[in-house]
Amino acid sequence: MIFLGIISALWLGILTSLSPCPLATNIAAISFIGKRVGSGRYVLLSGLAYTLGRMATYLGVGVVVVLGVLSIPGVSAFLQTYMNKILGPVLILAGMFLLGLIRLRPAGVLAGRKVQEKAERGGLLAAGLLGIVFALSFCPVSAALFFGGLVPLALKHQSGVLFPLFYGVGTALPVIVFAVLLATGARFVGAAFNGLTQVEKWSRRITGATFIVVGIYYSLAYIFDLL
Amino acid sequence: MKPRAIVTAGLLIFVAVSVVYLIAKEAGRPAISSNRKPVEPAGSGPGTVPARNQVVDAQSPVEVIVYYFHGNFRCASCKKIEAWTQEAAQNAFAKEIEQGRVEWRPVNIDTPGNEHFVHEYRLYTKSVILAKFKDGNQMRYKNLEKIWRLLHSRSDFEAYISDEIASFLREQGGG
Repeated sequence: MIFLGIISALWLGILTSLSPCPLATNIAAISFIGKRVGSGRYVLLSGLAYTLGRMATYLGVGVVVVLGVLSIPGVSAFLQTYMNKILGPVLILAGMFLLGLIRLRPAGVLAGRKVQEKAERGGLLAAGLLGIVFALSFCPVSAALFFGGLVPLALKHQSGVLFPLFYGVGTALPVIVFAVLLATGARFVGAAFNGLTQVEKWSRRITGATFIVVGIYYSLAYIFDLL
Repeated sequence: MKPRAIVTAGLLIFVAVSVVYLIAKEAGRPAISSNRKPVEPAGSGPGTVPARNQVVDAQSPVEVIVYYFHGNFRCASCKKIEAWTQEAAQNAFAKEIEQGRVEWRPVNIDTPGNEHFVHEYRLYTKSVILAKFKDGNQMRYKNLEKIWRLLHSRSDFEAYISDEIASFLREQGGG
């Protein structure tokens, strides 16, 4: 019985991810996770970090509403109203950072290898943060499926922990599959033209530009009510 | 000025304007958790609807109100839900609508005065709510939550809406 519930939670997550509503953030997530096309390990690890970020968020929100700490309408309205509004400017700044338009200067000069390790750790942390922020940005479909589908399911099975976790995996799964496919495809292109570094350089630029476009879309839609 | 510097400056200005506009807009609207009394409607224009359990008009023939609650931001799925629900109600209950027994009421919850619906109907997203009325008093309501899972099939969606309205109409006084 609980197994069926878990499958339902996973499926609700996949349904959320496949709906047109979170398409813009999913595109941004796919390009971010798949941007280091040269390293399959990195793509998988950042996909994992992104999934963990989403799982942690749904777990937190799920526990809060299942335990009745906050009311469902209040939490849902708050997240839908404010997170989507904050998301626009945040994504534009993140995109500008990825494109090198704005920089954070390192405190000291480190050896090349250390810099790379630090950048990799930073990239994974960023993927996790992206998972948290995107999961918190509830849109009408995700709010309907999470608060109207998953929460009642979790209450029925008395599992406020397990079900939100699987829902989080479901929401990240299609994104990761696309990112891995994209990275694999880009690797083939890079290998074929003997220019993986070039492909990675462009991949990073595309990611930055995607973030900026998605950020402008969110700002116009949620802050200025223009779309 | 180099193109790169122009793009950077343009984007930073856009971010700054967005943040300032957001703060100014939010400062002028009530907090989400606000329990303030809604501004009661004076007329019957769009977005002006009676509060729960309030006697609308004892002589009113209305038995079922089909609400569609939305906000300022309209997503593709939300527009589809509104159009399909309206069509289902109007196709299946044209006579009842004409008699005033069934009413179709889209409501923007972001319009000042409509925030109370969020608490009254426990709204957590764009929703279709059926409310049963008798002698002007609301007897009960139901959130048609399955709409989000029926978006892939227009016929199933419209059948679900019309079956639920029919069921509400059959009820005597609401139970």
